[in-house]
Amino acid sequence: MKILQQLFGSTIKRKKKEDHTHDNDNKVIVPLTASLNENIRQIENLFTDCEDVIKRRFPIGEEKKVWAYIIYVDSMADRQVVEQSVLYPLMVGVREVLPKIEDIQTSLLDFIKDGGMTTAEVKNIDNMNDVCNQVLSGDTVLMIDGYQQAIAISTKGFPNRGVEKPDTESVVRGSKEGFSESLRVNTVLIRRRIRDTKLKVKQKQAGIRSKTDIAIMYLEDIVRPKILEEVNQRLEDFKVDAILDSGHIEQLIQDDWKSPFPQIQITERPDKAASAILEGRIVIIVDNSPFVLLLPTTLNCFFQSSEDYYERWEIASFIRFIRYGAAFLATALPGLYIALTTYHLAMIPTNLMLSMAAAREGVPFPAIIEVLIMELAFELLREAGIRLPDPIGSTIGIVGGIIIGQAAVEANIVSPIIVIIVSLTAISSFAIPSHSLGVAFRLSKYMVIFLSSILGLYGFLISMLILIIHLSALKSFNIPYLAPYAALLPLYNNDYQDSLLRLPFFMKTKRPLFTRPDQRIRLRRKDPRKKK
Amino acid sequence: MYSMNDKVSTRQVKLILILDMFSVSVLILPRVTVEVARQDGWILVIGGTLLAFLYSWFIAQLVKKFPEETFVDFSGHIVTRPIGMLLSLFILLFFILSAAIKIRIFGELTKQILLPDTPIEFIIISLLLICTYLSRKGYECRARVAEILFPITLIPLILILLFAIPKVEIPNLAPFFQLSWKEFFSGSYYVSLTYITLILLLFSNAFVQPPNKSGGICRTSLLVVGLLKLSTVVMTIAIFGAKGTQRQIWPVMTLMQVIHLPASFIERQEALMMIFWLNTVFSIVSGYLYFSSVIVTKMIKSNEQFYLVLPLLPFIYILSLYPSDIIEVYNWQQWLRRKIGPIFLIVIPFLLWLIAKIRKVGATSEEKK
Repeated sequence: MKILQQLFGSTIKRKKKEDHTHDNDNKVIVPLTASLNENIRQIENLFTDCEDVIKRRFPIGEEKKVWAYIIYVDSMADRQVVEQSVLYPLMVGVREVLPKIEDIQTSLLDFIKDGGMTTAEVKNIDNMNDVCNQVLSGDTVLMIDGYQQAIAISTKGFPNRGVEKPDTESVVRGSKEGFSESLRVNTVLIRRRIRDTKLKVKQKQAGIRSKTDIAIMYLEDIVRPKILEEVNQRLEDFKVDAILDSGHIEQLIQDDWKSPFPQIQITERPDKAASAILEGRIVIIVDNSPFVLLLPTTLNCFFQSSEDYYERWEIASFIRFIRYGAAFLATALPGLYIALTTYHLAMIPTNLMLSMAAAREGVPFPAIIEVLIMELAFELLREAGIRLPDPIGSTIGIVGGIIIGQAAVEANIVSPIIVIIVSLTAISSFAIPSHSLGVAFRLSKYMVIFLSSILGLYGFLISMLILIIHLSALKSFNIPYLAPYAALLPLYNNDYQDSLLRLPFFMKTKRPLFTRPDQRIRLRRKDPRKKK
Repeated sequence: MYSMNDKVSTRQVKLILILDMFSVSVLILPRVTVEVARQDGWILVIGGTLLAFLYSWFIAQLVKKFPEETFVDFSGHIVTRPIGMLLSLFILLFFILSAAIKIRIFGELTKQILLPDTPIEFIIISLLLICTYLSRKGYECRARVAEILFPITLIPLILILLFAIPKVEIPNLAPFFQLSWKEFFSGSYYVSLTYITLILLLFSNAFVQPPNKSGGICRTSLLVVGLLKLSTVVMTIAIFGAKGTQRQIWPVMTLMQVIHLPASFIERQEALMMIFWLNTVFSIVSGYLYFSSVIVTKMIKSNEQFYLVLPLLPFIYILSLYPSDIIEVYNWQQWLRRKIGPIFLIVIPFLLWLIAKIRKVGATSEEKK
C-alpha cells in the first residue's frame, strides 16, 4: 500500500508542477511590461518550439534608437498586408514624415497607431493574454520599446474554401450558397440578406484551448429577451478544452440530453438562417464549422425546408404533408407490419393476407427476426456507403441492393414483402428534410418494433403513446417542442398556417411564436383597403 | 411566455376534461339507459348531462373561491386541516380504486379482443407504466398530450358514427316519450354519475392560467361530452333497437363491428376502437395517478412530487388484479359509481361550498375587483 501511495503521490506531485505562465483557465498571466526586451523574453518563452510563429525586432526612425517588435503566425496572417500596411510604413514611411521620431517619444505609440498603419482595424491591448490571443487568431501584434501597451493589427487571412454549394440541403429552387468554415464569411452571408442595424452579431470565445470564435446573431427588437438571456447564460456555463464544431456547442447547451430528438436545428444554408433570424430565432455560428445552429426549435421547424417558401403554396403544402407522412412511416411501418402479421391476421383484408402468406412461404424466421435482419442490413449498407469515396460508394449500393433485394429473397431467408417494407421505411426516413430528425425517428423505430413484437397492436399503440409523451415533454429553450400542434396560446393561432400545410404567402402576416409578443406583424398591405 | 411552473391554458383543460369524462363509460351507456327507459334511453343522457351542469356549478363556485389552491389546501381552510386531510385521503383512495378498476376493465377487453394469449398482468403493467411516465412529466405535459390525443381519439369515433348513419332505423326509436317521471329522474341521476371525473376539477384548477374560468371550462366540456354521448346512444338504439341494445354487453363495440367503412383497408374496426379506448383510459388513469401523487405530496408536504407516483403503483396493480372476473369488476364499478361517486361529486363540493359561504373563507368576487 505504501508503495502504491508513494507511486501515486509522486505522480500527483509531478502533475501539479507549477505552470508560471498560465492559470487554471489556461490564461496567460505573464505581465506586459514597459521594457521591450523583457516582453520579447517572455514571448520567446511562451512561443518556444512554435516554428509557425514569425517574430521580428526592428528599429524605427532615422537614428534607429527606438526598437519595435512584430509577431504573427505564418499564413494565418495575410503576409502581404503585414508587409505593405505595417512594416513598410514603419520602416520606410515613418522616416519621411515631419515630426522626427525622437521628438515625439512620449506619444509614439498613439502616433504610430493613428498614423503609421494603413489598415482599418487597429486596437490597443494591455496584457499578455490578449497579445497571445490576437496573434493566435491571425492578427499581427506590434510592440514598441518603452510602452506597457501593444497594438493589435487585424491581418487575418487564413485559407478558406470559400462559398460553395451546401452538401446536405440542396434545393431545386432558391439560393445555392452554403456556409463555409470561416466565421466571418458566414456572418457576411447572413448580413447580406438582412441589412438592418438591429441585426446584432455578438462574438465571444469558447474553449480554453481552442479559443474558438462564436457569433450569436439575432434581430434585437424581435428576439425574446428571456431566450437570449438563457442562451448567453448556457454558453457561459461551461469550460471546455475545445469547441471543434457547432455540434459541441449544441450538445452542451441543449435542454434534454436523454432525448434522441434534436432540440437545436442545424443548417448549411444562409437563407434558412436569415429566415430564422427574421422569425425571432437566434443563430449561433461557430468558427470552423459550416453548420450553423438555429434555436429555439420545434418539431415543426425540421419539416420546413427553405424551398417551401419559394414554391407556390399548393406544391409546398403537398410536400409538407408527404414529409409528415414519411416521418410516420419511418417510425411505424415495420412495427405495424409485425403487429398485424403476428397477432392480428384477421385484420388484414383476406386477399392481401393470402398473397402475403404466399410470399412468406418457406421463410424460416418469424416476422420480427426477418425485419431485424433487413433493418440491420440496411443500416450496415448505409454506414458503409457513407464514408466511401463516390465511385466505390455506388458499388456498395449495387452490391447491397442485389444481395439484399434479390439473393436473400431467392434464398428464402426473407420474404419480398419485408424488402418492400424495409426499403419504404428507409426511403421515408430520408424524405425528412433534417438528417438529425431522420436519425431520431430511425432510432425510435426499433422501440416500436420491439413493443409491437411482444404486444401486437396494443404494443404498437403504446409505443406511439410513449413517443407522444416524450415529444410533449420536450422543450427547446422553454418553447414547447410540439408547438403549434400542442401548447399553443390563443395569441399564436397563426402558427397553424405554417405547419401541416403551408398557406399562401400573403396570408402569413404574423411571425411565429419565437418572436416577442409585441412584434408580430411581418407583412401588411400599404393600402389596407385593397384586398386580394 | 411559457412558464416552467406547470400552468396550462383554459383551452387545454377543456380538452383534458373532455377526454377524461368521455371514457369507458360511454361503451356501456346505451345498454344502461335502455335498461331503465327502453327506446327513450337517450332522454336520460340529456337529463343526466343537465344534472351534471348543476354539479359542475357547485364545484366551479367552490374552486373559484380558492384560485391556485388544490382540494387538499382549501378543504383545510374550510373545515380545519385534520378533516380536510381525511377528505383528501378518501379522495386518494377513490382515485386509486377507480384507476385500478379502469385498468382492469381495459385489460380484460384488450385481452379478449386483441391479445387472447397474453397474460393480463402484462397488459396492465405496460399501461400502468406509460401512465406513470406521463404523470411524472407533470401537468403541463399532460395537457399537451391531451391536445395531441384529442383529434386522434375523437376522429375515429366521429367517423364511425358518420358511417353508421345509413344503418339508422328511426322506427327503432319510436314510440317517443314513453318513460315515467320516476324512470326519468332515477335514470338521469344514474347517467349524471358517469360524469364523476368532474371532481378532477377540484385539483386541476390550481394549474390553470388564468384561474376563475372553471365555470366556462365545465360548461364547454360538458356540452361537448354530452353531445357526443347523446349521439352515440341515439345511434346505438336506432340501429339495434331497444331489445338489441340490451342484449349486448358492450353495445358501442358491437356498433363498431357492425358497420363497414367504405373501401377500408382494415378488415375489422377493432384497431380504430383500440385507439379511442387506449387513449381515453390512458388519459383518465394517468390523471388519477397524477392527482393521487399531488395529494400525497401535499399531505406529507414534500417538495419532490414526481417520485411519489411510484409508491402508488403496487397498490393500483394489486387492486386491479384482486377481482376474480369481469363481472366482479363490473360490480365494483357499479358500487363505486352509485354509492361512493355521489359523495364526492355532489355532497362534498356542496357542503364545502356552503360552509365556505357561511364562514366567509376564500376570495369572493367583490374582493377580486
